[in-house]
Amino acid sequence: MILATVGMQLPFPRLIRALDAIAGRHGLHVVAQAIEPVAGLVHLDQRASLSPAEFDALAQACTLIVGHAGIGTMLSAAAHTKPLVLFPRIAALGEHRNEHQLATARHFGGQVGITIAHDAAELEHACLRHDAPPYRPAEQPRYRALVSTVADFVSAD
Amino acid sequence: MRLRTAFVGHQVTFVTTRDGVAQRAGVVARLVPDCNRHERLRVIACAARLALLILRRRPQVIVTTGALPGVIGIALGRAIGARTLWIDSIANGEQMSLSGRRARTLATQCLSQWPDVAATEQVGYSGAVL
Repeated sequence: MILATVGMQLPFPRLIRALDAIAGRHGLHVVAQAIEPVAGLVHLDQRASLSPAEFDALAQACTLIVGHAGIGTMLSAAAHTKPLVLFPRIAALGEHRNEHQLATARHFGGQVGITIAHDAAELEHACLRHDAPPYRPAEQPRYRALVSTVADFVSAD
Repeated sequence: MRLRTAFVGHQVTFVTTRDGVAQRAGVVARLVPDCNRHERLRVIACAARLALLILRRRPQVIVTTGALPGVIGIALGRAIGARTLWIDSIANGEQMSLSGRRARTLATQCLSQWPDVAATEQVGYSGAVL
């Protein structure tokens, strides 16, 4: 099962429609937290809202998390150690107030466990991969650097 | 929570504004009311709870990622001579939060988790939880 999320604030019909087409073509089971479900889609299990506990249970059970390029999406994949696909919102298409999700995608795109998809074709490719490693930010050098800085601060006299 | 390993070997009191978050991570935390700068009464309630906690626990170090309750915690910590560290939330990738800007002048050390933001806001960068 693939868990998709558009975050907590704005709907993201471009992502939802693309996932519906992919689910239909390949017979994939996709559950999507969509905020405002897009009418007329038959291949996707869309949910307007999920409680934190429901979301956690789905995140634990899924094989892949797909979402808009928000920090919440990344924290979910990290908490449940799942491979992650980020599909950034594009402000030029009216999907957000500025292009910070493209900046987020650039910033995190090189990390193990994160695949960036900018369009439906890249998204389809990413959803069909079976060898994607999970996202483990605690193994990143920048995580270890922060923890050691905090540990030094806490222990200094 | 993602920085927990940095506190190993120390006596730690966790404080949160959201019930359930700490429990999900398997940690016991003290609950204080959340507040923002538009709700004066909640700010007072939050500050009162934090003041009680800080006076009772007498921390030597306070580490926070925000937001306004974190600023209050740092101000109170400073008053009792604690060393204070502000780590601006990873969510602030475009600019530092208003709370972070306030904390910058109060905290012993102030970090952003985004190198570009750290450079613009003239605070430290030393890695990130993601």
